[in-house]
Amino acid sequence: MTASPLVRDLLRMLEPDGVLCEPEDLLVYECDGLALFRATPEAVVLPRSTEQVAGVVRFCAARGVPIVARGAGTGLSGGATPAPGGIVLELARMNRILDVDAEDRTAHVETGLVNADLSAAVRSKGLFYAPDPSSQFASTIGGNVAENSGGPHGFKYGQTVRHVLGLTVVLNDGSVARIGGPNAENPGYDLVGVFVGSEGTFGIATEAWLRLTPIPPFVETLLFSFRSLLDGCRAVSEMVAAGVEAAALEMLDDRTIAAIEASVYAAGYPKEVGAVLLVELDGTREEVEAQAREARSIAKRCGALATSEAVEEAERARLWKGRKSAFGAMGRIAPDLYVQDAVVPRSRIAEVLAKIGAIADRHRLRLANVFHAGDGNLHPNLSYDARDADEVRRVLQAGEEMLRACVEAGGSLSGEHGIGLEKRDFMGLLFTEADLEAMGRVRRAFDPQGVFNPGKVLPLRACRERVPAPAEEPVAP
Amino acid sequence: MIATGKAGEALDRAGLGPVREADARRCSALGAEALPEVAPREPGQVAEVLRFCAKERLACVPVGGGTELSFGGVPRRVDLLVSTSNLTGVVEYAPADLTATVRAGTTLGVLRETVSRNRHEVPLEASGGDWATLGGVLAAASDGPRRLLWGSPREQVLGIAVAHPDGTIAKAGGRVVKNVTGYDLPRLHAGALGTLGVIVEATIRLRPKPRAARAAGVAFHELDAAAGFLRAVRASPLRPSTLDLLDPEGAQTAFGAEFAAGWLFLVRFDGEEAALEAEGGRLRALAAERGGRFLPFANPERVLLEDPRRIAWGGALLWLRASTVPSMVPTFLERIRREAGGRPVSALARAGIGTIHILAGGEFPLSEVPTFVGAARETARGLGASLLVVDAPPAARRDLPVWGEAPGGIAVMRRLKQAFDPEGVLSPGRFVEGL
Repeated sequence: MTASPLVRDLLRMLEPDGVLCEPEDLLVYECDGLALFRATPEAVVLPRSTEQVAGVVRFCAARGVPIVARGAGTGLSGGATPAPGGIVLELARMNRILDVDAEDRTAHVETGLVNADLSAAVRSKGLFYAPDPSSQFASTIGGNVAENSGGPHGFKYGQTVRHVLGLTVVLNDGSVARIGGPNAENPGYDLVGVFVGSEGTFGIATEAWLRLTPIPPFVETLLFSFRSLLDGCRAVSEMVAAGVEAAALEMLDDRTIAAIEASVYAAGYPKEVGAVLLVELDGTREEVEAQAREARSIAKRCGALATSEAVEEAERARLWKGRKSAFGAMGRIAPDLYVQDAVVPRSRIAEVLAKIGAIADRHRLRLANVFHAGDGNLHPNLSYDARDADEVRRVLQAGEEMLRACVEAGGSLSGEHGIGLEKRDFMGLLFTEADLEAMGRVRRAFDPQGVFNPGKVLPLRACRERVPAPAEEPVAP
Repeated sequence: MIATGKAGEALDRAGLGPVREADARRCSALGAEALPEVAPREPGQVAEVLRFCAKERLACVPVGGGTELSFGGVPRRVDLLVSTSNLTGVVEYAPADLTATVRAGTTLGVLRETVSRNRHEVPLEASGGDWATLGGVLAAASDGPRRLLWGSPREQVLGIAVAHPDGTIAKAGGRVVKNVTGYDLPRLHAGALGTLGVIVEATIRLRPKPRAARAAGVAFHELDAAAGFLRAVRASPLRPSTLDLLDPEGAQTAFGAEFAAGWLFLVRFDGEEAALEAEGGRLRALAAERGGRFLPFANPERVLLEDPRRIAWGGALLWLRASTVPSMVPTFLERIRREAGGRPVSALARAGIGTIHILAGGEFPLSEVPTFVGAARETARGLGASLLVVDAPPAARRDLPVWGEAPGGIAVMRRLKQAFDPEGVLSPGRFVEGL
C-alpha cells in the first residue's frame, strides 16, 4: 500500500517502525476494551520521547488531524476509540522508570509504563503503587491517569488522582508543560487534579511523578458468606460506619459465585449462598487484629454463615482468586460480557441491586454482580453473544435502564471506567447545560481547537467543540 | 463618602441588597479603607450579584469567615465583598454514606457539631478553626496537622456547586464517594481562592471518629538528631495521624517552658486502643535510640496546632508557607533559622507532609520584611521548594512577590481565568501571576 501524505509526514518525525498504517496493523486499534464502538485510524504512531509526541501534536494540530492517545487499550468506555480521520498515539514505547526516591516515596516514570511493573520494580524497597485496576498487568500509567482508574484497594488508598503528584503534558500547540510535582503543594490552579480523569481530552501526559505507598507489614483477608445480598450489604454498611478501614471490601453475588466455581478458576467459595464478602485489612498486626475482631462481630450480627481467614500470602491469594477471575469465569456463560460501572450511595446498594435484577430479568438477560461494596461502585455484568443482534440491543437497553436506576438513587454514571463514548450521551441525566458548559470551558482552556480525543466525555451539543467529524455510532444495532 | 459607596448604592438600586458596611479588619486585609458587603440568602442570588458585577465591571472578593482574606496578593481593585454568611445550613447529612452536602457559609464549628452526634468527624482543618467556613476552607485549600491521616483537603470534596460571573450556577462531581463522571471541577475550585467562581455548596466526605487517640511530644536538643528521628519514623510501619516539628522558639511559644530549648515533634495516633498502645511503645523506642525526650500528652487534642500563628511570639507580623518533600524539611528549617539571625522567627513543619509555616513575631522589624521574604524565597528555590506569603501587613504585601515564580501550565491557568471570569471581576490580582 502506498503511504498517504499524512503517513509520509509522520514518518519524517519518527523512526520507520514508529508509524503503523497497514490495515492489518490498524485492526487492533479499532477499539479499546469496549468493542461495541469501532473506528479505523488513519495511522498509529509510537513515539519514544516527549519531543516526538510534541512534534506529532504540533503537526496534527496545525492540520486539524484529531489525536487519540492510547496506553494498552484496556479501557471499558470507548475512551480510546479512534476519531474518524485521526491518528492514534500509542505511548507503550515510553515505559521507562526514570527515578525512584525511596525516602520520599515517589517515582518519576514515563506514562507508557505498565501499572504492575512499577509495583514490581519498587517491591524490594518495601513500596508499591496503590491503584490496582483489574487491568493492572496490561494497563499503563498514562491510561490510568486519563481514566482516574480505581480498583479493589481504592476503598482505602483512593483512586489514581490521589497518587499522581505531577505530570509532564504535551498541550495542543505542541508545547510541553510540567504541572504539579513532588512537593506537598504547588502554587496555582490544581491542573494535575483536573487533568487526571480527563480521558485524554486535555492533552497527552508523557511523564508522571507518582506517590508510592509502604507495603503494609501485616495483611489479613477474611471471606464471609451470607444467605442474601441484603445481609451482606448490611454488614458492609455497619463495617464502614464502625470505622473498619478495610483495604478492600468486595462483594460477589450468587450467580458470580456459581460461574467461578464451575470454571477453571474455581476458588472453593461456599456454594448455595446469596453473597460472598471479601474484606482485606492491612496495617500493623495490632491494628489488623483489632479491626478483624470488629469485622467478624459485625458479620456475625448480620447473619454471616461461614468465615474463612488467611494471613499467609498464598492462602490470601486463594481467597482473592475467585474475585480476580470473576470476569474471566463469566466467559463460560456466553462469549461476550458487558460490564456496567455505576455508583450509588452505600446505603442504597441493596435496593438498587434489586432493581437491577428486575431489569435484567425483564430483558431476559443473564446478570451477575461483583462490586466494590465499600464505596458503592456497582459492576452489574451481562453475559451475551455479540452475534445475536437482538440480544445486543437488549443488553444496551438494560445497561441504560440500570444507569437510570443508579442516578435516581442519588448515584453517578461511572465510578472508574469513565464516560468515553459509551456514556457521553447520558451526561444530561446528571448535569444541566450550565454544568456541562463549565466543563466545556475547562476543556477548551486546555485544548482550544479540540485536537485531543474529540467527541468523547461531553455531549457534542453542550461542549461547542470544533469537532472534525462526528464520532462513530455503535456498530451494534 | 457614604458608608457603602457607589458600588453599594448600585447593588441596592438593582435590588441585590441589603448592603452593609464590611468589617474594618476585612477591609484592611484587602488594603481598603471601607467596602460594602452583600450577603445573599440563596445560591441563585450569589450568581445574580456576580452577573451584576460583570456587567458593571465591579471587582468583588468572596468572603466566608474572613479568616483567610489576607491570603494571596492584594487585589488590584475591590469594590465590594460577597459574603456567604447567609448561605448556611446542612442540606443533606447522610450518616450511613458518611457524606454531607453543605451550604458554603456553614462554619466548620457547626459542621463538626452536627456530625459529632453520630461519632463522625469532618476531615478538614483550617487556621481559622471552628470559625472558618466550608467554602473558605475549600477555596483556600486549607489544611492542618491531620492532613497526614486524611489526605489533602481536595480529597474530601465529592461535589461542588459554583456561582459564576455569567450568572449561572454549575455543579460537578456528586454525592457519592467514588465518581469519575465528568471533569473533576471540585479539584479545580479547591485552592482557587474564588478566582474562577464562588463556591455556594459542596458535598464532602466524613469519617468515623477514631475510637481512641494518643499523643506525645518528642524533644531533641539538636536538629541533626531530630532529622534522624524523622527519617526513622517515616521508614517505620508507624502511621501517625500527626507528625509536626516545631523549632525551639515555636515550641516554647506554643507550649511554654515545659518544652523549652529543643526541637519538638508533635506526634499523634488515631485508631484502636490496642494498636495505639503498641504504636506508642514503638515511638518511645525510636525516640530513645536517638536521645529524644518522650513527653506523653494527657490530652491528645493539645498537639493539634490547627493555627500556625500560635507559634508566633507577640502576634504574627509575617506568615510564610513553604512546600517541599518531607526529606528536605530539616535542611529547610536549618537554613531559615540561619536567615532569621537573631530576629523573632519561628517555624512549624508539617514534617510528614512537607509544608513549613514560618512566622515572624510582632517584634520583627517591619522594614526588614522584604529582604527576609527575598532570602526565604532564595532558600526555597535552592531546595526545589515553593514559598508563598500567607499573611503580611497589607502595605508590605502590595510590594512583595506573594506567589513567587510562575507555575508550570500558567498558559492554561490564564485561559481558565479568561473562560470563567472574562471581565476579571473575581478578586483580580489575588491569585498567581496576577490572575
